[in-house]
Amino acid sequence: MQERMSKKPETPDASLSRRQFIGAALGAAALAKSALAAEAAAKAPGAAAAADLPPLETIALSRLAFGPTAAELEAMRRLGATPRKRAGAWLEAQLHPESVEDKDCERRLAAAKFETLGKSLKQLWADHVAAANVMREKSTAEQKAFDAAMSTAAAAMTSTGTKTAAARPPAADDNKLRLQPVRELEAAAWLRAVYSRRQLSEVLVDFWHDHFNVFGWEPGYSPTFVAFDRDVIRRHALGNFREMIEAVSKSPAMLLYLDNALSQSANPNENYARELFELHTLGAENYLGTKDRSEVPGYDAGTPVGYVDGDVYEAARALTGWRVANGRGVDDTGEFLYYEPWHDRFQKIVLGRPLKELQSPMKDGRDVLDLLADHPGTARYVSRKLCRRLVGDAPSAALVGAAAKVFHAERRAPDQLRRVVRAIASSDEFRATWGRKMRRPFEVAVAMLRATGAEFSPSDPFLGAQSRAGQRLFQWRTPDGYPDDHTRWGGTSPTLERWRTANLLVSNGWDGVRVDLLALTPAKLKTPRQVAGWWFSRALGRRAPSARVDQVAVFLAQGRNPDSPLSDGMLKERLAPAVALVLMSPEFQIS
Amino acid sequence: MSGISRKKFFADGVQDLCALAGTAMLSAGLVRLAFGAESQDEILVVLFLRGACDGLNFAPPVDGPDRELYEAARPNLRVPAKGDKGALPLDGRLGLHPAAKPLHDLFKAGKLALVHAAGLTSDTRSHFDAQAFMELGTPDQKNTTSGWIARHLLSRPSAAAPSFLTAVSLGTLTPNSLLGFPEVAVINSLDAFNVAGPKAFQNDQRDVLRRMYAGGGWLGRYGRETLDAIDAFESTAPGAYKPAGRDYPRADIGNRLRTLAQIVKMDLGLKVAAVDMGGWDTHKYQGDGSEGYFSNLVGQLAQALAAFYEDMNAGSPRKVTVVVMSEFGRRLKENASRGTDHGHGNVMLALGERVVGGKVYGRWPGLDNEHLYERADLAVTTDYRAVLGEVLEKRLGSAKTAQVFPGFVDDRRLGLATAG
Repeated sequence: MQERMSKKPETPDASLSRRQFIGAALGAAALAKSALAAEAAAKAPGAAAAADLPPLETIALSRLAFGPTAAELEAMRRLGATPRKRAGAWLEAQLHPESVEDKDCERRLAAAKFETLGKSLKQLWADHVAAANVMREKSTAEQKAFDAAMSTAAAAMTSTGTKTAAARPPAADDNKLRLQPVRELEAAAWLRAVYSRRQLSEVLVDFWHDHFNVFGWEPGYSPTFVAFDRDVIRRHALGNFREMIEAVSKSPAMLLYLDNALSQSANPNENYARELFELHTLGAENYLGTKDRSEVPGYDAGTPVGYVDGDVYEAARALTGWRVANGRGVDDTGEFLYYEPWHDRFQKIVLGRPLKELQSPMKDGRDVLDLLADHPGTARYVSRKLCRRLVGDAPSAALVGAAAKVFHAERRAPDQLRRVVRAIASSDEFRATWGRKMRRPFEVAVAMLRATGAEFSPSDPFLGAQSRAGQRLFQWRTPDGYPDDHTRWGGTSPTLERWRTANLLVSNGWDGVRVDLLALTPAKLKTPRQVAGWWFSRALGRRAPSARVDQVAVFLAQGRNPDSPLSDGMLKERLAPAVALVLMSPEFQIS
Repeated sequence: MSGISRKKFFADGVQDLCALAGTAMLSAGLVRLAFGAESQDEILVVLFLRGACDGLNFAPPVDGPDRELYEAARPNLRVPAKGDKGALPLDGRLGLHPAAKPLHDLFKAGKLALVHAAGLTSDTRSHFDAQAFMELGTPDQKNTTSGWIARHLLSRPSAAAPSFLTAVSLGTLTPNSLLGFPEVAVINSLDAFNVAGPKAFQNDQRDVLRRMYAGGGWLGRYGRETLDAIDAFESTAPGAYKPAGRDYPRADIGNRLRTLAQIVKMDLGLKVAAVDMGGWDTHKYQGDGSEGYFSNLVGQLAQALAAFYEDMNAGSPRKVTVVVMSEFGRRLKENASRGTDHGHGNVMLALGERVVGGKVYGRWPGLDNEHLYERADLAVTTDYRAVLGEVLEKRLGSAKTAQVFPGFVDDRRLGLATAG
C-alpha cells in the first residue's frame, strides 16, 4: 500500500478534470428540478429538509451503491441521453457485475496480500481450525507437563533451597489463527464497498449477510465464514432463492452458528429450523404462534396461510443429520455432511404436506426448502425486506406486491433475485421518493470515504470506531441481522460516532486513511460560498439547499463576508473541518 | 446567544464553575444547583436479558416432586440442590443459581425480590415477536407505534416538556420500549464524548450543527439529542470514575451499568434507563448446573447488579429500582446439544431499597405434565405487565398504568414494593 501511495496520487476522482465534474454536478441539479416538477407530491416524512428529489443518477448511486463519486457520476453521463436511460443502463450493468470493469479494486485487494480469502472450505478448515486445535492441544499439554515438573521441583526446592528460573510455556495464540480469515474478509469487504465499481453487488451482499446473519467472529467456526461469504452469499446474491437457502442450510458457518450441526433424531435442536421459517423464508409476519396446525386456514389442503410451532418442530426433524464433518466420529474436513445415523427417518408433516417415512438421503430437508421457497408468504416477506433496503423504511404495499409477484413467478429462474432487484430498482417508487432511509453506520462511513477520495485501508482504530457506532461487520450476534430502519439507528452514540468519523477522516486521524482535500478543491473556487457549494455537490451528487451551503460558508469565512475571496491560509486552516460539516450534515445521512 | 442553545450556554456555565472548582468532572452538586434542586424522583432501570434467559436454572426447584421432575428433565444441566456448587436457598422450594451469590446476599438483605413463572402470555416462541410484544407493552400486537416506557413517560403529569436525558438506553440501538418518546439518549460509552478533531474547531462546528439540525422530523431530533448529550458529557472522564461500592465486572453489562451510574450521579433529570444484556440464547453447551457458559453470564449479571446497587446506595444515595426481565424462559427438558430450546414462563427480578425483597412472588405452577405450558414449558402465572405496572404505581407514582398497558386489567398486586 505504502509503495503504491507514494508513486501514484492519482485516484479515480483526481483523474477527472475539475471542470467536467462541476459541469456534471450543475447539469444534475438542473435535472433535479425537472424530476421535482414531475413528482411534486413526493413527500419525505421525517426528512423535510431534503424533500426535493435528487437527480435519478444520484438516487441510484445513493441506494444501489455506497454513495455517488465524481467518477461514477461522470461515467454515468456517457450512458445515455436522459436520466432514465443513464440510470437504466447503469443498473443493467450492475445487475451483471462480471461485466463491470473493476481493476482498481482488484489491484487494491491484491496489494493487501490477503492469505486466506482464496482458500477452499477444506483448506480453511485444515489451516485455521484443525491446525489451531492441534496448536491448542500441544500448548495445553506443554503447560500441564511444566506445571507437573514445577510442583516436583518446588518440593525439591524446599528441601535443597535452590531456585529455578524456568518460565511457563505461553498459552497458544490459536484464536489469532482462527480469526485471521474473518479479519481479512472484513478488510476486503471495506475495500470492496469503497472502491469496487460493482457497487450493487456489494450492497446486496451486505443485505444478504443481514438476512442470513451469521456471527462471523466465533473462533470455533469463524474460518468457515470466509467460504460462507464467497460460496453462498456472493455466489447467489443475484441468483435463485431456492438454491441460495439450500447453500445456506449446508454451509458449515450456518450449521454451526444455529446448531443444526448438532441436531439428532432423538432430540432435535430447533434453533436453525425456527430461524429458517421466521427469518430466512416466511418471516415472522407469517407466524401464527403455537396454535394447533388444524386451526391454520388452508392447512389440510397443503396450502396453509402461515406456519405454527408444529411446523418448526417437524422441519427440525426433517433437517436432522445435516451436519459438519468435524472429526467427531467422521472425517475432519469441515465440509457439509449428510449423516444418516442422526437423521429422523419417520413420517413428518410440514406446512400441511406429508413427508413420507424412509425418504432418500436429504430429501426430507429439501422438501422443506421447496415448500418454503414456493410459499407466496416467502415471496412477500423477502421482497418487503429488499424494498426496505433499496427504497425506504416503509415501502408501499403496491411496490412490495409487485416485487413479490416477480419473486413468485420467477421462482424457478436461475436469476430470480436479479429480476426482483431489477423490478424494485426500476419502479416508479424508486424514482419518485427520497429521504426515507437513513444510512447505517457502515454505509455512512463508506460514503464518507468515497466522497473524500480517501486512500484507505482499514486499521484497528478505524474498525474500533465502527464497533462504537454499533455496526462492526459480521459481529451482529442474533440471527436477525443488523436492523434496517432509522428508528433503531438514530441513537446518540451512533450519531456522535458518525460525526467523529467525519472529523477523524478529514484530519487524517487514523492510520491507513489519507485524504488530500486541498488537492481536490479546484483552484478557481475563490469564496467560502463557492467552496462550500462545490463540496456539498461533490459529496451529495446534487446541489445542497442554499441554507446549508450558507451555514458551511459562514463557518469557512469565520466572521468575514462569505462571498469575498478566501486567503490560501484561511482555506488551508478551515477546509478540513468545513468538509467534515458537509459529511455531518442531515443531507449526507439519508438516501 | 444567537444559534447557541440555552442549554449549551447553561452547560458551558456549569463547566466554567467546574473548572473553577479545579476538576474536569462535572460536579454533581454544582449541576444539581444549576438545574434546580428538585427532589429526585425514583429512577427505573429496566434490564432486558436478550435471547431468553433459562429461568429454570437461574432459580431452580430444590425440593419436592418438582425437584425430581427437574432432575429427570435435565440430567446434564441441572443445578445441584445443595452443597458447595449447589443452589442458594430462597424459600425452601426454589433456589438461586450459585453464580448469583451477590444477588443472594441482596435477597437475604431484603432488597431483591423474585417473581417466578412470570412472563408474556402470548403464544409465541419467537424471540423477536416476544421481545416486541413485551417492550411495546401490547401482547400479540407488534405494530404499536410506542413502547411501554415511552407511554409511561408521556403520561406523567409533569411530562409537558420531556427534557433531554429523561430516558436513556445503554447500548447502540433504541429499544422498542422507548419507541415514540421524543427524546431518547442512546449511549454506548461516555469515552471521548465529543465530535473529535482539533479543539479549535469543535465549538464552531457544534454551532453549525445546531443550525443544520434545527429542522423538524426524525433526523433533526437525532441531531439535537446528540448535541445535547455532548453538552452534558463532553467533559466527563469515565476512566476516572470511582464507584461507591465494589468494582463493576469487566464485561459489557458491567460497563453499561457503570456508565449508567455515572449518568445517574450527574443528576440531569433521568427518569428511566433501558439496559440490554445479550447472549442468553443457550441452545447448546450451556454448561452444567454450576459452571460453564450460563454460569458465567449469571455471574456477570449478579456482580454488575450488586455493584450498581451499592453504587446507588452508598455515599449520597440515589433512588433507583431495577427490574430484570427476558422475553421467555427455556424448555424444561434439555436438548441433545446440552442446551435448552425456547420455552415460556420465566423469572423476573426487582431490586431496590423500597422493594419488599427476600421473597419469591407469584404462583408456582409446578412442573408436572398437566401444569406445563403445552406440556413442555414452565407456565406463566403472573403477567409481566402486573410486575411492571406495580413498580410504576408504587415506585414511580404512576396513576396511568391503564395507558401504559392498554387492555390489561388485573387488580391483583403482588406487594413486591412499597409506595412513597
